[in-house]
Amino acid sequence: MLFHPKDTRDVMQAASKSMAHLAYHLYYFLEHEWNDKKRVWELSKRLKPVPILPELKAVGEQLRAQREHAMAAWAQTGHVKKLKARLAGRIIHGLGAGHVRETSLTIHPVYGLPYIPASSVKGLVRHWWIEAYGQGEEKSLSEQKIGRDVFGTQEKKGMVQFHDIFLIDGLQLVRDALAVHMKEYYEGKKAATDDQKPVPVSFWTVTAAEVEIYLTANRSAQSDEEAKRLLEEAAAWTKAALTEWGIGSKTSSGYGRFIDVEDVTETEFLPVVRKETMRLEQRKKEQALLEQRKREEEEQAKLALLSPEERLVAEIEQLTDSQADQQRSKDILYSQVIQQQNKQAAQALLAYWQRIGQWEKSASKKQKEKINVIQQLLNGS
Amino acid sequence: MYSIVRPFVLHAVTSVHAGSGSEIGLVDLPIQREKHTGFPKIESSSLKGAVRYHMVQALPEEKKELDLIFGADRGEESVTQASAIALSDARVLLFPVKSLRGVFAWITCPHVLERWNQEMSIHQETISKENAFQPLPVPAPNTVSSDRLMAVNGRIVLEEYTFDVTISREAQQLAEQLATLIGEYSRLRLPERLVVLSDDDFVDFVKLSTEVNARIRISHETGTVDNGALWYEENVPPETFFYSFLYIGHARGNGINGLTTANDIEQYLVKSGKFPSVFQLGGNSTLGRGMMRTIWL
Repeated sequence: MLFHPKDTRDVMQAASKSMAHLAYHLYYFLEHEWNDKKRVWELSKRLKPVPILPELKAVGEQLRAQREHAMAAWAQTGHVKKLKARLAGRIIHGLGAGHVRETSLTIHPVYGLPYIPASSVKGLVRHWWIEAYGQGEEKSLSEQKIGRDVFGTQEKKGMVQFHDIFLIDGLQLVRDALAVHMKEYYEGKKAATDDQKPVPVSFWTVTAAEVEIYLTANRSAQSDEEAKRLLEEAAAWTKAALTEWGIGSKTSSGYGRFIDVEDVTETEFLPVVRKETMRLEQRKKEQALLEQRKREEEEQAKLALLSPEERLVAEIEQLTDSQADQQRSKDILYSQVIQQQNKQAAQALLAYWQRIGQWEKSASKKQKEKINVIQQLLNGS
Repeated sequence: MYSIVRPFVLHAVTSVHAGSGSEIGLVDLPIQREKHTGFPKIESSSLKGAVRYHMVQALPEEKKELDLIFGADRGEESVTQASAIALSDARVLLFPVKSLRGVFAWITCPHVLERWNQEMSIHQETISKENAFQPLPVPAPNTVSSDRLMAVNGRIVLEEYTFDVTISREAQQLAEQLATLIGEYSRLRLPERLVVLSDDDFVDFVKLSTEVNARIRISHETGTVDNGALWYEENVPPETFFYSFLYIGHARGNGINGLTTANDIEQYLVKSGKFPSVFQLGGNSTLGRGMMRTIWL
């Protein structure tokens, strides 16, 4: 029995094999069974196997690529660290969150994948730091500069940003169970005697292979080297916290422990950043070229509208100092000026030759002749 | 007077908490919303502040240029500088919702699309010719771009609600046009995931399907939740797309270093890529929230 709108129930029963988003398996469509003795619908105790569909894996891969792409762009104007780690065993995050089964699991609302929210990661590393460097005193965090700078205080925000960790690679959901042996003792009703019935509680755990962990820091106008150093420190602490303590629920029973935490910033991430930088440069160049071409086309179009005389003047006025242009001014354009007997163009040519130093006495004999002709044209009636 | 208008899309790469303060209700820290529609939005002041902060951090040597562009308070020379640019409130374009099939869907509605078309056409004359604005098709409600999301024939389930839908040519066109605008920046296959809902259904989803996270603080002494340290905060989910306009005018005063005309400023910000392509916006930035990708149209 499912407690959902009837139309949704029908669709779900027909399409139960194509549900990829894990929330539909874990939070929705929970089977209820009729308890004849108590005369109520009860949540079914059995956890049905949850498949990881190729569709979900594909979303995971796309998400991974998209995050890397965004981080590479971020690295153009900030600092990024990328770590990789392997999960030692199983992990469970969000076991105690509100759920009718009383055991839950954190699933991303959009991507449908299990993940460890950044708030957990930061909380863990911060707690670890206080134990390791702050004698277990919360106040030491605000007393020591490095703690203040990395994690922030009520007055000032931290310089390091922690990010969600997604469990994508080799993802499987595994059923697990714990048994409460002395229920009535925990309820405060009875002494812890041996005659109480154990109550099994089933819950979901996650196995995954490799995860990607990002840490970032803004570039700092005042102390950029310091920002880099703090990021480095934070990465080392994250590594220690994840391997020594683990993350999520039930870490004291060995869940959520990581091994082989490795800094892959140099080996894997920076090459991606460099590629992205090159791509951006390339695109900028292409755009500049495109605009250049557009400008030239516009110039051409403008010239096309002019009369031949006006066009000649415009052409001379646009000459640059390059050798090719200088040569052009002396043969093609010069002969056109003479041919058209174009005084305005002659004036422009004169101005150009003066600019490039071909009007002085130092000019060659041939050039002097041309200058003479131009002058005659200008002085003539 | 602003002479250049550059529209752009903002892609939420991570959840965004552009907050509006605190509230007495289930959610202690809600997000910014449009008063009249209830749609999530990003105030222009939040947006401009975030962009400015990012640029000041990233380009410490260019304080003068940034003061000229973003405006400045009374400084050493005891003169104030008015900003040469303006930004509009970012409005929602696409919103992600979990889907029984296909993991998640991007929803939009006729009202959102018509508003986009109208706002783009207002600026038609100032948007340069080669970027001439193509109006987006406005498909009828309950149409989809592909059968990818259909759980059974003609039916999709978003969250736990079933909708009867049809594949329509307009929805396909819309999905293709949007995918061209957004290009390589989203890797999650927009053309397959687009759903056009009725305005009312869209409002319900953007109001009720945002992320609401319970946050706690663990007491250091006891290792359990601190007294009173449970609060709920709301985020816009990642994969939400917003759009906004950057208005550029001539620099007020004489300008500096080749930064005087609107064209110069456009060159500086947009064409040379100094306007950040990925930046952080809103609260909880140390938890990676609010990573936004800028996509110029």
